[in-house]
Amino acid sequence: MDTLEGIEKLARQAREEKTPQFDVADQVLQQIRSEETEAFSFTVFDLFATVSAIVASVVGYFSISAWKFIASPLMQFFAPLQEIRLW
Amino acid sequence: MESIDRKEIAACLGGDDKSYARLVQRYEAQITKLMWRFSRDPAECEELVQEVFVEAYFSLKSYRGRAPFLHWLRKIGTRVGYRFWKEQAKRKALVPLTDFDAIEKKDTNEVDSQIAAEILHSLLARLSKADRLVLTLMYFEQNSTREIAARMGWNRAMVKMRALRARKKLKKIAERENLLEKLGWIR
Repeated sequence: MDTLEGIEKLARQAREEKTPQFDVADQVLQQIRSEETEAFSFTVFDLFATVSAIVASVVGYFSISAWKFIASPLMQFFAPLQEIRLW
Repeated sequence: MESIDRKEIAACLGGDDKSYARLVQRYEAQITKLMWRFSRDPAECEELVQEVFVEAYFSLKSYRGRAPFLHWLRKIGTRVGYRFWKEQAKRKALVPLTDFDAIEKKDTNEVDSQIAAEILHSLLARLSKADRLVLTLMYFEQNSTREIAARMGWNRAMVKMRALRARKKLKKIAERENLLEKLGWIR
């Protein structure tokens, strides 16, 4: 008998094997529910993260433009001294 | 059967969990049989069956109903199984064929179907994942190259070529392991 014929014959016999039986319906539904809950909490988290990012961008934009007009109190303290003659 | 499936799929998409449970119960035996080709460990196999049905549930919207629901589930099952092999590739220890030296035979011509399946499984495990998948589907599921190509989204010519090469490799492995001698099929 050729080796490949032997393998074919082995496969024919292997196909008759009885496979185990499982009842997975309940576990499947449980897993689906838990994954849906997880997906929902991720959506809430994503939404919060998006809103935070938008707010941070707006605040950042105004802060940078406001930065140019901020006068340092220390500089204001020394500013009159610039006019005093030191000699 | 198909019209019942369609009704239950529609109900399921409408949020009825029980209809999906009925679909699972209807097809779990066939899917278990398929997943048993990917793992012969009952616990792992059960997890794979669950994974197939969970994945099918989340892709249910994409089911167009062109082919029977079972075909669609088998397609998902094959992909889940193939992914499982990829993940297991580095960890999996091979079953040496020497373990089958004392094979119990019903007569000189026949081997117990469970042992035959174990031998074939361990022989196929020595091939690369893609070769293994093609021959597993051919030998266990009696799929044609066209069906394998459709199931995996592969090119049919590539599947044919792979099947040819995989058979040659399997022949070499079987000869190296003196398979026919161990089975008592050489006189």
